[in-house]
Amino acid sequence: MPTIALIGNPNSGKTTLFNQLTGTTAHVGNWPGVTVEKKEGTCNVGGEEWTVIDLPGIYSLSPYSPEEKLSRRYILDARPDLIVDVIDATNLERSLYLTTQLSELGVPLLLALNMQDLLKRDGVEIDTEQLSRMTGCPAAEISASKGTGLEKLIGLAKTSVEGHVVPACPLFSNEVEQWLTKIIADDYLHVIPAGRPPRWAAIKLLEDDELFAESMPAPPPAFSAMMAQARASLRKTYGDDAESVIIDQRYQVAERISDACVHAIKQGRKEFNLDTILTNRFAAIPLFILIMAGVFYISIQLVGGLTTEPLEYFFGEWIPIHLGGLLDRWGVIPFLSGLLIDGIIAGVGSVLTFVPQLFVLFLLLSLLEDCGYMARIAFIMDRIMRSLGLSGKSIIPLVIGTGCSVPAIMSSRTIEHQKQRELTVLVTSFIPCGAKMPIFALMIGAFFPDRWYVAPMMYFIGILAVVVTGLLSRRLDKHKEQNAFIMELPRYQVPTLKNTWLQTWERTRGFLIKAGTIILLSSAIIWQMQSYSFTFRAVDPTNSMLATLGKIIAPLFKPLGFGTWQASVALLTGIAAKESIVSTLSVTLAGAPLSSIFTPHAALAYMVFILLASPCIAAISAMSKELGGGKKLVKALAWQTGYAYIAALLFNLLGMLVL
Amino acid sequence: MSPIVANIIVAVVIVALLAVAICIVHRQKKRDRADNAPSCNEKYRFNGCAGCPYAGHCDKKR
Repeated sequence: MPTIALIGNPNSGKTTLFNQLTGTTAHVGNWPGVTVEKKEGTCNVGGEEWTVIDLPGIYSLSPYSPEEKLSRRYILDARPDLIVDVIDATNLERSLYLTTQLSELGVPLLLALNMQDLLKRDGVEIDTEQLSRMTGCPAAEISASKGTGLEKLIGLAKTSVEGHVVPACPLFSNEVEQWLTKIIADDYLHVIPAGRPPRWAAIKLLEDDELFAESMPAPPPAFSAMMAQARASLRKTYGDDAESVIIDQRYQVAERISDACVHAIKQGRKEFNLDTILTNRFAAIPLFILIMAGVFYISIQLVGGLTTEPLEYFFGEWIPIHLGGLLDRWGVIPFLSGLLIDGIIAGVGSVLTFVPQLFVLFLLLSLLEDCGYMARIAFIMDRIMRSLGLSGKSIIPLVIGTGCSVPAIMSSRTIEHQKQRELTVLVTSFIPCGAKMPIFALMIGAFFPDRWYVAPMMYFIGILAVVVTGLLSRRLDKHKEQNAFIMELPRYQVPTLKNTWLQTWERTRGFLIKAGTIILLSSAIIWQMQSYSFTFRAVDPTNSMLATLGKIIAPLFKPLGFGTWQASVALLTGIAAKESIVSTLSVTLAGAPLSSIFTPHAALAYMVFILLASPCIAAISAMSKELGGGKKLVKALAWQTGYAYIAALLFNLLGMLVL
Repeated sequence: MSPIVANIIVAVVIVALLAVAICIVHRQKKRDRADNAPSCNEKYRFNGCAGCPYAGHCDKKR
């Protein structure tokens, strides 16, 4: 089965093209860094199945970042049948730098000139034929988001693979070329690992590429002497080291090609630059707070207020009355009807009640991502992040964390410095994920229906926890590492219906699957544990095995205001999945109102504790993987839970005074 | 409907729901494990994976 690898600069539309070609629903965002690992799918090319690989976005093949290493290693080791270089056509010159490197790998190369719609809007045209002639690669004009030009791209891909046409390599200055010829002719080049073209290997040796040097045996003294002579000669001629000379000459090639191929055909439409407001140093943060407050107000307060009551009635009253009545008439024994109605339906139903507001929350977050605002948030927060001892890249996990902590924690892998990466893993779960939202919605609906600021406040308490943890860690850390985070701000764009729908649906689907699996199973177990004693006799819930367990840990939470066995047990089941807290409360309260076990200030403290305490088991497992398990994981969980306990205690005391 | 048949139907429905849920969780876990396999950490690759936190669990499955 032939394999195509999609490669290109960050945010050039690789994942959008991947989704179009494979019909999959990989996460797409209008901001760089969405793809951390490679993704695989299949595409139908003239009745034949082809494998399509989506690689992380990179600016070059120099092995300086994990993404660059991953992409370079994949192409060199796996040797795909075709590389599709996804180019942001509105930024041709910059994109061609990577093209000059890809063309040296000895693999057929196809240029996909993406974002044609934006190019036309700018009044610019690219002479595709000229570009093909100059690079020696076929090129297709496409718009991945609109799905145009894909047939031509697939046709060219087929021709390229069948013909195995390797592109022309860019030519450097005479002196560089002479040295490359000498290096290629040397016997030492006979030992280069399989799959590495001699010219590419010669360039890497001249550049003194460490990663490549490690894969080679030690060079003979004569070869080392020749390399030293070559580097000294280049330094003398160009006044710079060999690597910089080659970089500079690559840019010259890219500039020459771009100048010959890009033509302005009309005056581009002048647009008002939104960034003058949205990234303004004074207005940016207040606007960010306002936008996030709006997102939570619309989803939790507005939509939640409209949909929660009818759904609660449906799952809490309509089904028990009608189905319960039917089962009674049929003579079904109380154990089975109780397990089905009071256990499974009550538990799963209590979680499903929040689907509409979560759907709206995910929809709004997807819109913010797709239009390009999330990338601005990263830009706004970069300096703050670095002052907290975090990397600028830490914002990526924190943004992904609003959906689910597991992929968010995994995305911290791209942070180079270990301390910053570990700190990011630790703070990521402070950001409220989708699973925590039903708990907030439940509590806010019951205790704070008219206080619009409580839901956004939870988000900002999470951010405050990130800040406090960062500041403390920075104070304790003697080795203050700093690294630059280069992120290109993507264009603002009207979110596409398909992308927005895919992202929203993926997140909602994940929530629905959890409700139908983990929540269903835990509700069935919880109902049995609260209906039976340890001797397996049907008892009153207050004497059940669940109550017995709950009463053991409940005193721990008494200072926080929620020292009842129901609230404590719900926290335990929340370790499996945070949504379980809602279903456990629903099953254990058996129709009694939340106010029977919570006061408003206890409810606030409960929300704060759930927000900040150790995440669910899936996120803990992701943390363990990224931290390397052991001591570091225990320390991280202890910090999260300890911080949550103190914060909840403060909110309980504060709530007593204010509420 | 006789109570015995009704009880059997309800029991079968509950068991089926639980079985489907367990199967989905199991399948999801397997898929997650495959999806989340980290990339081979090149830094340790030239040392036989010694000291690599992902040794044996990465996409190279060394």
